[in-house]
Amino acid sequence: MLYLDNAATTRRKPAAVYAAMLRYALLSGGNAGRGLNRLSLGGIRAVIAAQEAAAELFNIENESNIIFTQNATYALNMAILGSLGAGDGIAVSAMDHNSVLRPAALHGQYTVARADSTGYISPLAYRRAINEKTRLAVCTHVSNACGTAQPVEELIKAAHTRGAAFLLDASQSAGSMNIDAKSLDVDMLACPGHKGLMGPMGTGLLYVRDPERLRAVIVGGTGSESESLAQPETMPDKFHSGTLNIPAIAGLREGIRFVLREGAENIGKHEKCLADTLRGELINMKGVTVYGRSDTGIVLFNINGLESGNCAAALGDGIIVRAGYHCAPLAHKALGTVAGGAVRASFGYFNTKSDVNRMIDAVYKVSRDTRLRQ
Amino acid sequence: MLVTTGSITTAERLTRALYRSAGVPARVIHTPAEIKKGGCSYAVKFNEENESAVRRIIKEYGIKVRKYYRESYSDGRFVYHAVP
Repeated sequence: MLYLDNAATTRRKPAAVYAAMLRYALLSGGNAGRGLNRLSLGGIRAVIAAQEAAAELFNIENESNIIFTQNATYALNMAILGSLGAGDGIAVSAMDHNSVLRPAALHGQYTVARADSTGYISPLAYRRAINEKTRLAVCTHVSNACGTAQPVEELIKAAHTRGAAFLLDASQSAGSMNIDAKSLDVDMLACPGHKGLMGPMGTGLLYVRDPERLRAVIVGGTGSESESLAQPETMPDKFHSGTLNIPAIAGLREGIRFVLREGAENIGKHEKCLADTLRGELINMKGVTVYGRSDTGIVLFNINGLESGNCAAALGDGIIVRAGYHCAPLAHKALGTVAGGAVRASFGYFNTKSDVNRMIDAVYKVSRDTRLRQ
Repeated sequence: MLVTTGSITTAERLTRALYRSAGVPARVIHTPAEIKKGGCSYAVKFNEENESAVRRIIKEYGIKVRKYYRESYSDGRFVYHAVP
């Protein structure tokens, strides 16, 4: 099997991730924050250790302001719906995922920054989308569809200049790029735990610089201030209602520690190197169209005359790529692939050069066969 | 002596910070009934001689705590006095 769908989830994880999950599931199992027994405290310690690791990775000063969620979608929903009130506007970008676009559409008052045909959002286009009603501006760091990286430093400045808070969707960049929350001056950062951070599925996180400015949209039992019907303001309890997935959070901590050891920049370089090799071959291949920029470990392409789903199927069962819209309909509109989507190959840290060669051969074979049939 | 916190996570984080940064032993306890409003509430207990170190670490780490209490024993029961 050739797994090239790391933008959806990194399938292979460091061994320490599985070991931590097994350890917590088998030997612990207490409900974190529910009492002072040894098992419950063990759960709380796992949460704190994961917060510490994430704070180190993203250079976050107050680790208490890191919340664990089921995935990036939950984190983004919590950040978007908890920030906006009646009359508030939200600015999004055309390259955003539906996990941003749908809550923005649910809120109703949103503006969209346009992207160029390579999936790039210029600071000028972003500024144009921010108006006097904009309370929150969001942008994906790296497009999940085509891998184009956005100039987030300038986008954040544009949002702040106009008085809007900025939420960074680091779903494709966390673990593959150095992200310094402090120097970037982000107000909120959301990302999944199961992609570049190498954690298990069912994990994500949200960093909130000013928690008092964010309303909790999910409330309930936190194991604290139980006498009150009001949600506690204490972090992270304010956003940690209900039982946490401690085995997964413990696994996520080990994933982040792996990224810290290897270096996010090194991981990103490796992924980009593999993607660039594939991109270089596909660009020169007859009957193949490649989209986006050469910024990250993602390559988006189509074989002319073949619908993207059929193309992915034609590559064979052994090659796992993702065809279609990638939950980013406006991105495909910008890229000119709205008719049938495209095929995405996304590399991870555990992919090798021989994986790239196998993919090149497979695409060549399908494109040649397609041409011969035409 | 003890300091009350808003959550068990905060309390546990404080004990870790105290031990790691200053070698101060401390433990998380349920907030005594005499000073809590009811429900789930947690505090960190430590020796009075470490008060200045505890206050320093809390400030240094930006840990949000509520109130400090001195504990004494009188007429067969513990009594708690809030201190600024």
